[in-house]
Amino acid sequence: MGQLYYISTLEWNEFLKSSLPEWSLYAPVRQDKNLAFERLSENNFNSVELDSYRATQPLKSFLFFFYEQITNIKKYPNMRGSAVLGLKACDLNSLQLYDKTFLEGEFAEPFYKRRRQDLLLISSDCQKPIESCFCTVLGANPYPEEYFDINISRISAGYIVDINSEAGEEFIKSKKDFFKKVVDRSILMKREAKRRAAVETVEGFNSHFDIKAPFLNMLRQKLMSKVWNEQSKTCVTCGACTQICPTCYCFLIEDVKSDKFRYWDSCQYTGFARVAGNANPRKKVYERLRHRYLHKFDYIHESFGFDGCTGCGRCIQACQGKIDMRKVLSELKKDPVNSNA
Amino acid sequence: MLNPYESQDAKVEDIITETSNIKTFALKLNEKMSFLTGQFVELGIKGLSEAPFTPSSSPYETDRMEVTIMKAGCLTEKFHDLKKSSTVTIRGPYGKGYPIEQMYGKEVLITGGGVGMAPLRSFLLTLLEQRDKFKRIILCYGSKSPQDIVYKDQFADWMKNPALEIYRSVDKADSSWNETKGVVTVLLDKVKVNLKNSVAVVCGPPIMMKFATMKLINLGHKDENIYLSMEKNMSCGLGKCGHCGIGKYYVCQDGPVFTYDQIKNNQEIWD
Ligand SMILES: Cc1cc2nc3c(=O)[nH]c(=O)nc-3n(C[C@H](O)[C@H](O)[C@H](O)COP(=O)(O)OP(=O)(O)OC[C@H]3O[C@@H](n4cnc5c(N)ncnc54)[C@H](O)[C@@H]3O)c2cc1C
Ligand code: SF4
Ligand code: FES
Repeated sequence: MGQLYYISTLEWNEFLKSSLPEWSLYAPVRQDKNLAFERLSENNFNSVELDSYRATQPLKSFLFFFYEQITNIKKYPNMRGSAVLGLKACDLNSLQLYDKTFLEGEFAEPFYKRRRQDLLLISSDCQKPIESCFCTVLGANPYPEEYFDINISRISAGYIVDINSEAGEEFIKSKKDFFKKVVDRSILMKREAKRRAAVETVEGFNSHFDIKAPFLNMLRQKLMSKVWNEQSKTCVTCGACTQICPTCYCFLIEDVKSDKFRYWDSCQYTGFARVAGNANPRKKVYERLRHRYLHKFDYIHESFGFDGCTGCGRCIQACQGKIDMRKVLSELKKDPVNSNA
Repeated sequence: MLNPYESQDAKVEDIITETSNIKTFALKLNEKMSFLTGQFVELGIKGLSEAPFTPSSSPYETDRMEVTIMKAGCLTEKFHDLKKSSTVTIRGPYGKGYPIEQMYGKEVLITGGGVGMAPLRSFLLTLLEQRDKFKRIILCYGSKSPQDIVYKDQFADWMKNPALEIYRSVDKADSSWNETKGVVTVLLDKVKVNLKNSVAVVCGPPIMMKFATMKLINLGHKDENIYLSMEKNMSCGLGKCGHCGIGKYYVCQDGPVFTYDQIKNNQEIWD
């Protein structure tokens, strides 16, 4: 926990408006049933919803673009002066895997690295989780605990503002007098109560699934389960689950004339693992679905000690075939097969 | 900042036709690239695509690099159409290479099939540079027919070399063939190695790797002493794009050579 301040909603809004000329701010804006990130302006300012639940686009879309040129780069991307607001715990938690994959190892992903250094991350507590949310199943909480520069928690007529980095400190500097140091601890009790309530809401949504991470040992017993085939029957291999997933990072490099471009790929596509002579270790839809679960909950867990899923539930909402990760996991858990070959 | 996606140009200095569908390309790189035997490079044709290939030349030869390519699809067909002096792109080297030092003092049993001889030639040439460090070097090589044998001239030299024991087989023999007939695993029955002090190195088409590995295990070789080259789909070569996964490993970063022990529990290794 960094430095804690309190700011009234009125002053917070005034502060944000005053930042508009200098900063590119992106925030979740209500669009029918969903929240979508939009560049903040005077026009959409009143439709911003910072405190409900995660927006439709995953955080990766700001740091690791869907399609971009990666060779013959004259000038690297620069995101200084950009900030995303209204990020949720399940957005931020995806950075654990992204940082591991793209910043560590022999090579760093140069585009991600730049944007990750530059982009200011302003998160907030979830106060209206939705039915597809299952962060608590993954052992996480519906309020940010790390990876943010600034986190705001709504308390009646204002926010508790948690400043977690120098960049965060810098961001509020221009209106520093709006931010009052928290001295009255009772306000923190209020935040705690709201946080508890959100945890209980999410737990309530998931109580009938009877699943709890980690899943690696369970999955290793169910490699041959018929559940994979049953649950993948409605999959149309559109790849929506991976595109919308905050932790999925797979990509493909494509030559266009004398430049190379990189775009998000999906392990759910038929050709993802295909090798010369049309040999393919994952020809069947269920094999690809299984691979996705094994990658997230077994391989990543074994390598890094955490899961490749943050429980944001986007894949559940995006799936054309109504495949629900929680259902798949609970059906697997129930299936009595016990085999690993 | 260094851009790992950027490749350099290389000039095709020479093209050697090995068989009806395999050619070796001798490349002159703008900037020298040193590599460990068993590491691979991403080789491409501008505007088309790139694919992983393992240099088949010795890492001790630093002036030019040779890559042996079998016609298998889009890119490899275009490679076969290239003429001398064409320009290709190259980046790398990637992956880990063979753990040569762990093989010091041991009998090294090499099993290869088809174009799988490409990395094995580089490996063999590396062993020959330091021949006295190894107890024995045995090579079992299988191909479809006598015409499908790669590096024909070099094989003739190797077979005269007393420092090497070479066994070859072909699936389909003709009247000129006086060596073994059959799949490469029949050769493994012929060689006797000291199982307590040996390693086995295998590279070839998936089906051959599978049967060779099973055979080696039957003969008493230990899982951790069998080294396999895994061919998986690759895009980045950098351990980022997720294409080359086998379980928790990325072939481009943790391989391409694995011991059987490392990967045997994965259901996808032979596909
Ligand atoms: C580490 C490693 C070393 C290799 N070394 C050699 C070698 O020394 N000599 C040799 O002849 N071959 C080698 N191969 C195999 C070689 O990479 C494939 O034959 C080649 O990728 C086929 O390309 P293509 O476009 O001609 O085939 P196609 O089948 O036409 O490929 C079309 C598409 O399929 C996909 N694809 C197919 N195979 C692969 C692959 N292996 N990796 C990524 N994408 C693929 C790609 O999307 C590609 O664009 C190696 C493979 C690996 C993984
Ligand atoms: S999954 Fe959890 S953190 Fe994400 S939006 Fe829902 S409640 Fe918030
Ligand atoms: S080829 Fe991209 S991760 Fe291995």
